[in-house]
Amino acid sequence: MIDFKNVSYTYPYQSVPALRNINLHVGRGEALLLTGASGCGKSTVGRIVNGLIPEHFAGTLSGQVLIDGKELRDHAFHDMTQIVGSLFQDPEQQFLSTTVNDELRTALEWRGLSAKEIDEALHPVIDRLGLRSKLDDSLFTLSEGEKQKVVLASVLALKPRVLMLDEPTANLDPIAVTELCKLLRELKRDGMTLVIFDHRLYWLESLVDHVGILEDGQLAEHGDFQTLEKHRDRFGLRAVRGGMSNIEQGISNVEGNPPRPFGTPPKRGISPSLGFQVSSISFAYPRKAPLFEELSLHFPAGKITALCGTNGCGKTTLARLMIGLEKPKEGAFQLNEESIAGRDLLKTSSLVLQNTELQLYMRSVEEELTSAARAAGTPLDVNEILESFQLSNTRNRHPQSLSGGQRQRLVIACALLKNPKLLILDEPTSGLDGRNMRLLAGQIREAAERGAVVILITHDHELMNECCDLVLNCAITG
Amino acid sequence: MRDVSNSKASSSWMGQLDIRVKVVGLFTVSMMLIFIKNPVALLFLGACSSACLLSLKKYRVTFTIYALVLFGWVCSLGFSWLLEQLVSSMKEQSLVQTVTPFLRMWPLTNMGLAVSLSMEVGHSLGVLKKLRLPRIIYLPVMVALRFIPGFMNDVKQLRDCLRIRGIPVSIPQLVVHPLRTIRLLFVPLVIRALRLADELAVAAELKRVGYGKGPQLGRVRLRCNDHLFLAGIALALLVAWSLPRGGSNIECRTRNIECRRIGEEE
Repeated sequence: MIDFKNVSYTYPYQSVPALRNINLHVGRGEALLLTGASGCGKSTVGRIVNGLIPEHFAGTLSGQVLIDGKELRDHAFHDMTQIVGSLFQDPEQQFLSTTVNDELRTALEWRGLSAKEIDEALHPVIDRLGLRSKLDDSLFTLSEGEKQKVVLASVLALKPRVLMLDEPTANLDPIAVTELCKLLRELKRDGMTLVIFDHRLYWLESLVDHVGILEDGQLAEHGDFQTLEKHRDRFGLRAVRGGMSNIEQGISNVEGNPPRPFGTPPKRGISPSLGFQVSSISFAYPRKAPLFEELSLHFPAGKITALCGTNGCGKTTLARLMIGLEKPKEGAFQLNEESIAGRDLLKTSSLVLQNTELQLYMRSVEEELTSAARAAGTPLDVNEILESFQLSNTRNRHPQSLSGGQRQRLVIACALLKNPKLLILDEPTSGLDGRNMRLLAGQIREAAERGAVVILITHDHELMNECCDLVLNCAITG
Repeated sequence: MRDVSNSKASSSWMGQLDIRVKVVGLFTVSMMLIFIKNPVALLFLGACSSACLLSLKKYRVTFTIYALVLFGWVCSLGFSWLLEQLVSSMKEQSLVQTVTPFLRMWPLTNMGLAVSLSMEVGHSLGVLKKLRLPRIIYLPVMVALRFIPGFMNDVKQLRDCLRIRGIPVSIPQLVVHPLRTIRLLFVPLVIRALRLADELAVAAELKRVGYGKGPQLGRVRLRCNDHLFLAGIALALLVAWSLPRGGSNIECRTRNIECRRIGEEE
């Protein structure tokens, strides 16, 4: 179904090729996993598979690419979209509409289907992915996981022969990952070819037939799933083991010790009463049903609490309330036994959101760090910070020119420079390889050891096991 | 997160209108605004179009944009005054002269926002294709209209990010540190805007928008509301065109001052 023969590709205005002599074969109904460190060329392979290279991205493509037995260049791009369905890492990249229903229908309408045929194609997918209650919602109000489901539904409704998924589990909760895995197994059984690019490996063992490890644009290793285990340390990969049964229970034990249940008293000599107290808060967005009613929680200081739960249950909203970006209808907050509200919350806390592009403003990485330190009034050793976040070679680069992983690390470094008493990170490791995930875990752990209340909104079990002390599982009730 | 492109807006009376009617209305108003110079007429059209926009209940967005336009006008007044002080041959600008370009922008902004915030992009693309408009026209128009809610969402996120970082961005800050504030706002927004434009192009390509026969929409008939809306626009334009020029006295007075000054010099 997919054949790469000595494929190399160089992006425009770049001297170093993004891919070099890649050879791959994926048969019909097979599943291939491509993994590797951030920036190794996975997304570039994906862009070739779905035809965005050379149609949308110029540059130099050499070698032979065969899709469905036909040269890539001989496929018209709009016909390629009938063969290959794509799910990108950032689902917002694929939205053309503004409401869920319109988004799901658009591609089918442009294939010339009647309203009845569209309904027939969409209904099973909508039910399968649990989107029926969201059909009239605006895409901008959905959680990241829900957005991903919308894109997946719109792609599956088109019944492509190849499904290409780039970091499909980056924003999904454990139950959704289990469901996705089940769905993909069924699609594979029905003859669909799967090409998956992911850093998170634990969910893929029962699904993939071949794996490839990319390094600096080259296929460094190729084989079965066991190949990952053998070369894990060499390529800085994430954990490859972790039973799906554990995930279904809510919290997985990927490797190492399981996170302790919520409520374990803190150690390291910090008084258990210190921390961030949420007291009886109620909140609802305008013209929406209440999201929280009389919610009370305690997040201990010096501890890292993982806030997880199903997509769309209000984790990010809770974080926005806690740092003062939203105002609760009722209730109050206490930080280290003192009442705190409004601007004081913003002054003493930091929230790192998923969209890193909007969190970087200066002309160089160094200037970005200096500005963050100046705003917080904290002393700064630029070299030390750059080194500890492995950003030394980017010192004079424009922050917006960095890779996704580098931007993520820089944004977190800036947040830590504020020396916050409350630090909340929203999916900080989405799209990060194992090496960078462990690096971040260490930095987060240091912040907690300085006495901060640290909350991680995450579905990343490896990260939880790496650094979290407590887990708070949110659920939608009523 | 709060909704910047509320799906409820598409179920409002503006949202129920046929997209062809809205686009034709927007196009007609923008064409007429080239020729209408009467500030009273512009004021009248601005008020009518404001009513349309406000009916979508997107108050925060609406008033933020109005505040920006107002800020632009105040800046232009300030610069006009400064130029008069520095350049002696500079003609004195009346209030009406400085406000007219902003009054012209007002109905256009209202109509553009009202159309953008009350449409369903996918369906609208299909309907426009049925109008037999060339792809080169309807696709950029729709992508541009779709760009507005996405961009507004980015502006909202940027404001939150700056607040978290402890960087104040306000109109006083813009006046005190103009370059710094502009950089803080514009660098991420320009980068996001470029990426958003690229993403929308890829999203449209992947959905095969613009290729083949396009959607089977059957015969889409205009409804009573569509006809009423078109009639309302025509009536508003007619009234605006026939309104007496209220600002003329002020301009005459300005000219008199000029004459007197010239006379005094002589």
